[in-house]
Order: sequence, then structure tokens, then C-alpha cells
Amino acid sequence: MQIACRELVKRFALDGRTVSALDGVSCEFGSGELAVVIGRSGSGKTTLLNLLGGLDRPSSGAVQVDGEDLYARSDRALSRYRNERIGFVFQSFHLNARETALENVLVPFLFARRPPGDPKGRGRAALAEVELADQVDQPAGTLSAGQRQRVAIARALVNEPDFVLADEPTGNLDQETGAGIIGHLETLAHERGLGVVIVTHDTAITRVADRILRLEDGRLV
Amino acid sequence: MGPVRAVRRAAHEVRRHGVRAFLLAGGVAIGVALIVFLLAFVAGTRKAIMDRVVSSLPITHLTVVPRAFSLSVLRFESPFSSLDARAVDRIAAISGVERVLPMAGLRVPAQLRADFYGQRFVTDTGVFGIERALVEDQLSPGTAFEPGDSGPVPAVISGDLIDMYNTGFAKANDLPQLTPEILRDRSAMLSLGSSSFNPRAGTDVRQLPVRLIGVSDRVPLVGISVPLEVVNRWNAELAGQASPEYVQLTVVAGRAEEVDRIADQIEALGYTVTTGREIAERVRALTDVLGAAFGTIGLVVLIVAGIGIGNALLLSVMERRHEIGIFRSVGASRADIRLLFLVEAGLIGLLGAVTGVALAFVAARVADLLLDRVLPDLPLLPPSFFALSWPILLAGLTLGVLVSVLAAVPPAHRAARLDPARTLETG
Repeated sequence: MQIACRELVKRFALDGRTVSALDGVSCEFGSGELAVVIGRSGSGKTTLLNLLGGLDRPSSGAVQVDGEDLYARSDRALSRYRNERIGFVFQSFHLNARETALENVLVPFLFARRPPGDPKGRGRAALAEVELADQVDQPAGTLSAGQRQRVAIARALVNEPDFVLADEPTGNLDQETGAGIIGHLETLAHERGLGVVIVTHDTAITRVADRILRLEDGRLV
Repeated sequence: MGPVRAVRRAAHEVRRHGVRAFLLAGGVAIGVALIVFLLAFVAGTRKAIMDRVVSSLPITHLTVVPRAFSLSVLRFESPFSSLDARAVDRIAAISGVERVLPMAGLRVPAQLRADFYGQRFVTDTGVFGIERALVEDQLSPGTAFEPGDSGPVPAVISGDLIDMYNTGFAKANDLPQLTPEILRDRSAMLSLGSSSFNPRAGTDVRQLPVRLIGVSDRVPLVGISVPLEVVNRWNAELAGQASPEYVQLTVVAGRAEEVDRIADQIEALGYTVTTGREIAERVRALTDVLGAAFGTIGLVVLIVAGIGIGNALLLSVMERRHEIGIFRSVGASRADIRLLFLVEAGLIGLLGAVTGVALAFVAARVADLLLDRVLPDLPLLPPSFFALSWPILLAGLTLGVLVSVLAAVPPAHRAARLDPARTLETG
């Protein structure tokens, strides 16, 4: 699978003026590749990730998935793309703290067109893959930050996506735990052949990258 | 997202916010309970009235009286619409008329004297002549209603008269209650030509024994009804009436569908006609208005409850922005989010509606018990004032769910329109 950005522009209205988060970005990402997009806060990294994942709409330009314009699709088709082909990992995990690790991991199946026959088995397997087999019934709020991020990765992987899009995945973790998470993402790209895009301001992550893209003020440099 | 998964997830949300859901469902329950309770009361009242109407004037029966003109409080009968033998023949000749049952009124005053429980009662009374066929199905099988050459004259009285006596006169005078069984075969003395209003009457008084043989709700309320030929004979002997004239005719149609046509033809002859259907329609119209008024009261309460649900869900959308963002990021479409909120409101509505129906059921039983205690001796009263029929229960359930779902449309729409990227940024 290949995701390509063509002259991507995203503008926001902020305090009565228009701000460009992305200003003519063109780039490509492919399966089996770990790409790292670095840049300072406000450089447009998260906006780029959201546009790659079908979570936002560009002001102009296009995102093409295997040559097809992603944003020409209906909301339902775009949602299916997020459900079946993309797994998001966020800096602040975005888990439901009151629900168990397994319940959080199973959320994508709630909206799946064809849920698997044994969703709980798939959820447990995804948690086992991130070494949380013994935490499946723990409420997410009681887990450590590293464990929560691994639950988020399990949720991203449970529906077997083609791409994992990670937004500052180590931002809330200590160095050692962060390294473990990055190692896991590296495995997904290099051993399982998934496309992985990590956006971060942490330049240390670039050592595992197959390709590094730098964003400054909404432009690739 | 399939409906089963939507219901499961919405049920999960309802459980998670149990107290809030309970309060919101409580509002719906009160509205639904009020609607079901009041509509069941209207339906029960209608049923009770209709049962009496059908009993006193079946749908195949018509009553015919002379046409009358009112001038203020004065009432004049048309001299051209008297009910005599010729009128009976003309009406009987109308196609579809199975039978014509005349009713005559005695043209001289009369008093009834009877002994009950050691006390003597004397009362002025109307005396009416009827044909056996009018009351036949309401008499005990085999009861004779023919005048013999000697012995007491058989008489029938109105069941409503017994009710009035029991609830008014007997209570006020601390007298025992009467029932048709107690009165059956009782004898009394009828004084023809005697009146407490006219001192000159009574100079030529004829004393005749009468025997009560039954009770009917098709005979006049104030008076006794005896065989028609007896009254005709008395009118000829005491009032000099050459040929019989009647106060009312009961026309029996062969089929209920022909009643309206027959009524039109009789009215064209110059008479006033009342049909059971007409009375039933009047009762129906009256109870419909009552039902609409009561239903509106319940609906207003339900709408207020619905607004509460709408507001609570609107707050819930704000509280759950983050969760909505997560759902969107893992593949929820706008339609999925909208469906989740609508189903959640529907479940709260269903919970409230089921509770409301149960409350109405209990309230109806309690009200029946209380009314039975307050009004213990009214035979006119039905066994229950409430008719909790399936259509009413289903209407309550449907309205509870429908109002809740409709109230959830704006918040559901708002939740669906949330920008997932922004909600996750702020989360």
C-alpha cells in the first residue's frame, strides 16, 4: 500500500486570521517502511498525520491511497479506510480509562463492516503481542503509561491495518519505555511489512528511520 | 455499524451512566404513566357507557317519538306526527323493518302502594304499556307477561330506578338496599285515577293489584310498565280514548346496516328518530374529546421529559467529545455516532416507557380500589374505571421511545458533526 500527498495545504481559522498548518506538502509513504517526520511543535506534523489517516480534510491538494484520491470518498468510505487500513497511536494514548485493556482494544470491531468470528480472541492475541497478556482485564486507567501506550498499539493493530500512524508515541514515556515502544514499531515495519509513519520532535527516534522528513512552518525542508 | 452492536454499546453507556439514565427515564415514565392512565380511564368510561347504551338500545333498534317544537321552556308536539295505529302500519311497511313495538302512556294519574320491610310506600307513578318483545331477552326465561282475566297485572320496572332508590332514597332514609331478586314477585296496589298532585282526582279510583316480574333498562325510568293491551284498555275505559295512541315506538331493524336508511325514511314521515348508533357516536365523540384533552396533558409532560433527555445528551456530547474522537479515529462514521446517541436515547425512552406502563397499571388498580371504597354501593358503576387495552399500552410505549429519540436528534447530529481531529487534540 502506498500513501502519497500532493501539494497538501491545510489552513485553520485562528482568532480571526487564517493560519497555514501545511503549505504545499508532497511526499510518499510505502509498506514495509518506517518514516519519521520531525519538526518543532506547530510545524504541522500532527496535521499531516491526520490527513494521511483520513481523520481531517485538506484545504487543497490531495492524499492518494494506491493512486486513488482519499478525500473524494464519502464519510462512510473514509471511516472504513480508518477502520480497516489504518491504526492510530497517539501521544496521550486516547484510551477509555474506565474500560479494561481488552475492551479498549476491541473498540475498532464495534465499527467494523465484518467483525471477526472471535473478536475477544483477536483482542487477547493483540495484547499478547505487546506483552500485556496478563493485563487484559485491568482497567486502562490503572495501567502504567508504557502499558497504556502498548494497549493503544494493540488497538491500532487488532484489525490488521496496512499502516500505523504514530503521533509522538514516546512523548509521555520515560526513555527506556519509549525505546521499547519504538522498537515495537520498528518490528512492525521491518518484520511484518506494515507502513509506519512516526511524527515526533524527538530526534533520537530518527536512528531507526528508513526515511526522515523535516517539517518547518508547514513545509518540507 | 449494525443495530445489534449499536444497542449493545448504547446499553453499555446507559449502564455506565446509571443514575443519569435512571433520572431521565423517570421523566419519561411519569409522562407515559400519565398518558396510559388517563387514556385507560377514558376508554374504561367509554366502555361502561357504551355497554349501557348497547344494552338499553341495541344497534338494530330505533326509537321513534312525535316531532316536537321547543319555544323557550315550552315544548309542543306536532299535531301532524301523532303515533297511532296508522303510523305503526306505515313504519312497519318500510323495507328492512322487522318489528314495531309501540309504547303507550296511561292518560289518567296513578299511584302505587306497596309494603316493604313493614313500611308502606305510596308514590305517584307513570304507567306505560309495552309489548313483551321489548323486554323479553331481559326477563327470566319463562316469565309470563300477559294480562290474565283475573289476578295481578304483571309489571316491569327500570333497573336505573332501583339504582336511584338505593343510592338516594334508601340511604337518606336508612332503608335496606333493594335488588331485582328481592323485588321479583312482589305485589303492590295500583290506584288508577289517584294523584297526590290533584285533589279532585281520586273520586273515581280503581284499585288493581300488580306483580313485579322483572327489571329492564328499556322501559321508562319513572313508572311501571305493564302489557300494552292493559294500558290501551284502561285508556279507553278511564280516559275515553277511542283508538290507541303511543308515546314512543321501538323499531327493530333486520340488519344493523339498514338502521340509518330506515331512520331517514321514518324522519321523512315526520317523526323524530334516535338510534343506538347515534347515541354511541355521541358518546364516542365526547370521549374522543376527553381522550384528546387528557392525552395532550400526558404528551406535554412527555415532551418536557424529552427536552430533559435532549439537554442531558447535549451535555453528554460535550463530556464525551474525546470518546467520540477515539471512535472516529478507529473507524466510526458520522452515521455510526448519530446512531449510537439515538439508540441510547431510545433505550432510556424504552426503560422509562416500560416503567410508566407498569406505574399506570398499578395506579389504575389503586384508583379502582379507592373508588370502590369511596363509592361502594353504586350498582351503576362498572367493575373497573380503566380499560388497559393493548393499543393504549403500545401507544404509551411508542410515544415514550419516539419522544426520547426525537429529543436526541439535535445532540446526535451535533455529536456526528464534531471534527475528530480537533476533539483528539483537545482530549
